[in-house]
Amino acid sequence: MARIFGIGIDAIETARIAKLINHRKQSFSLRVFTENEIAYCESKKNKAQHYAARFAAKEALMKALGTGKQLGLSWREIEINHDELGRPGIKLSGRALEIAQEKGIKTIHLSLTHLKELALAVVVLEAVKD
Amino acid sequence: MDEMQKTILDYVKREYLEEDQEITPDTPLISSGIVDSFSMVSLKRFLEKKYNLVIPDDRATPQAFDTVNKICELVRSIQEGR
Repeated sequence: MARIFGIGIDAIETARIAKLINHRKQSFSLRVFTENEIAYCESKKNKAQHYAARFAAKEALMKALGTGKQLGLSWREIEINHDELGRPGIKLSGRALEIAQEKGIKTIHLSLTHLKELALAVVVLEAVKD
Repeated sequence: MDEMQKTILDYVKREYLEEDQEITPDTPLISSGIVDSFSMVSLKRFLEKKYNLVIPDDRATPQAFDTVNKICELVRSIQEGR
């Protein structure tokens, strides 16, 4: 049996991401996104929207965990991926994974949306029922 | 105000504040919403580049970044190897 552990939502203006990836591309991108995420976003025509959606997803995940950035999790420990049908998902590593395991998180649900001006992400975490 | 306080204060004002907003080294930045988590990424990058150091992710917390004075304390602690 599962229970809902937490829910997180985040929105970010695409222009803020575009400014950093266009002007300070490598140093910003490598701090926040994994190589897989960068490769995916760079392959897209409207890459800023995809970067923005991924940033929002990382934020939403941290909110759903209940930690926010309190525990100083690394952005790169939260990787946004997608399955063969294009459905987005989250793969955790490092300290982010440890925390999720400590909290009994079994399934991470993610939904993304992005417009020219705004990207938004929602995360729902399922944990094992006590 | 020392040089580090002034440098960081000027950066925060330039990057994150409206023209008519004023802050002091003790003004809450994160908890007041002046600096959000996305802005923390660019602020962290600025500090690392300016002071030639690396701020570990586990020390880059909202509490450590909440005021200019706390940021200065964080930078100095890393410079001094604490």
